Amino acid sequence: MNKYMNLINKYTFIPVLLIIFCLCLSSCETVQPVAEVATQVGVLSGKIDEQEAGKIQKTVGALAKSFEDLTPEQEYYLGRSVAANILSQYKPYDNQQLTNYLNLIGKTCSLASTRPETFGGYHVLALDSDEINAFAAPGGLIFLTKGLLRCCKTEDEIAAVIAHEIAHIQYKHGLQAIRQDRMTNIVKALLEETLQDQISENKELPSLFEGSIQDITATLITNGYSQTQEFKADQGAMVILGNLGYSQGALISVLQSMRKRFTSGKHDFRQTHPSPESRIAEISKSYSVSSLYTINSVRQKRFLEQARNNL
Amino acid sequence: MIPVKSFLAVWGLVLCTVLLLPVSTVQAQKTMIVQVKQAQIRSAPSFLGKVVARPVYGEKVTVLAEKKGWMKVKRNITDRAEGWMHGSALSPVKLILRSGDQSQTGKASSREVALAGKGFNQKIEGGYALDHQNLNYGWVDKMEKISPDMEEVEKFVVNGSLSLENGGTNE
Repeated sequence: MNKYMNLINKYTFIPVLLIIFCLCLSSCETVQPVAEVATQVGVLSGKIDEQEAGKIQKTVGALAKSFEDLTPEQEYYLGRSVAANILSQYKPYDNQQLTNYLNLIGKTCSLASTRPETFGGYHVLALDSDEINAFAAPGGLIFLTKGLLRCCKTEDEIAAVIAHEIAHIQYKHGLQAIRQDRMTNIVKALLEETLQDQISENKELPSLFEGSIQDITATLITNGYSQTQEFKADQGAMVILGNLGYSQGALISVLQSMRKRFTSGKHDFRQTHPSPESRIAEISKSYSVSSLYTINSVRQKRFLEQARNNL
Repeated sequence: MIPVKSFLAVWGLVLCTVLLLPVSTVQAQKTMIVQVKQAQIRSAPSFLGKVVARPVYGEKVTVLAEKKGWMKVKRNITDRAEGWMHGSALSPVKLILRSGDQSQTGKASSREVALAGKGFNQKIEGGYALDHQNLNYGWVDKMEKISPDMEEVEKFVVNGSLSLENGGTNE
């Protein structure tokens, strides 16, 4: 009898789990909590042990959009440490007038993005480097080198490069740079912490944190995002510029300037980005804009006073 | 006899879970949690709208309406302030599904915000910083303090013949 009932339980638990899972596939938001409920059911009934429950959560967790399972708060802490790494390799350019101006442009651009609010907000800082480069740490910390700023001839062009970085943040490209196996372990560790309802953190989290920072920093500084992500960030930048009334041709224009100013042998955008030509070609598929655009006199005056004069 | 109990326990819990799901989903649509450090409820669905309240991180709000990326919300705490918040400041409260509405104060219950402060947090950052003392957190802190207020931004936008009309509504 016992054997018979065990057989029933064995063959009922799995379909039941599948029914719950299928019901919840209709809503991504509910995948994770249901995995928890389902595994709790299994553990309570004695049909699966804690280890097996963990495996189920891991599987379901992997099916969820794992990088999106990180809360903005966790993204914020990752971004701070990625930024600290960038600032250990590049010296900040401490110029108050330029910093204030860049942050006004940055905040304005962020308000026209799909993600105007992050846990800690958007902040922009210039780096004292002749390299032509820019970095966006997860959560909203943006860095532009003096070399890149010198490629910009107008405020619209600075807005274009900042908008490109904001687009990387709004699409969470930085978080997507975390290795998939590591991300699966992060989601699992978070689930365990949540299930335990304990204050003490998972012992694996510090090493997962360190590994994630290495993944993101290496992508930003050395390897670069995928071509698809770069093209997507350009598209996002075009939308932001258009929403605000900045000239969209400014992105084309600054890409042309960057191409002209590249110096062979130096580490710069070329190591981490598709060529300016291919980016311009990709933008031109969706937008019919010229690099020759009307320059607004008020914006140009403040650009010259607050940016150009300080570079 | 144990397997029979076990069998009933499985089916009973599964039935409860399935029956409660639609209710919980409806709850999730109506209630959201503030997921940013400094949030504002505004008088209009625009960043230029007057700030009427500043809900805290982890606070629960009831969503009354949605418009182009903005949500009309009502605070669940005593002042019951109503206004608009951008959707990116709010989280869909995944964990409400397992806890129900336990809060009378408007603050999310401990189980609902189980992820707040969990995972990667200040303590984990502190440990990492200790192991990597060459990293420049001082400038990261300094950078975070640089944030123009909305009055400055509005002036910057107007003077530069720009517009925030389409803010936060692209795609």
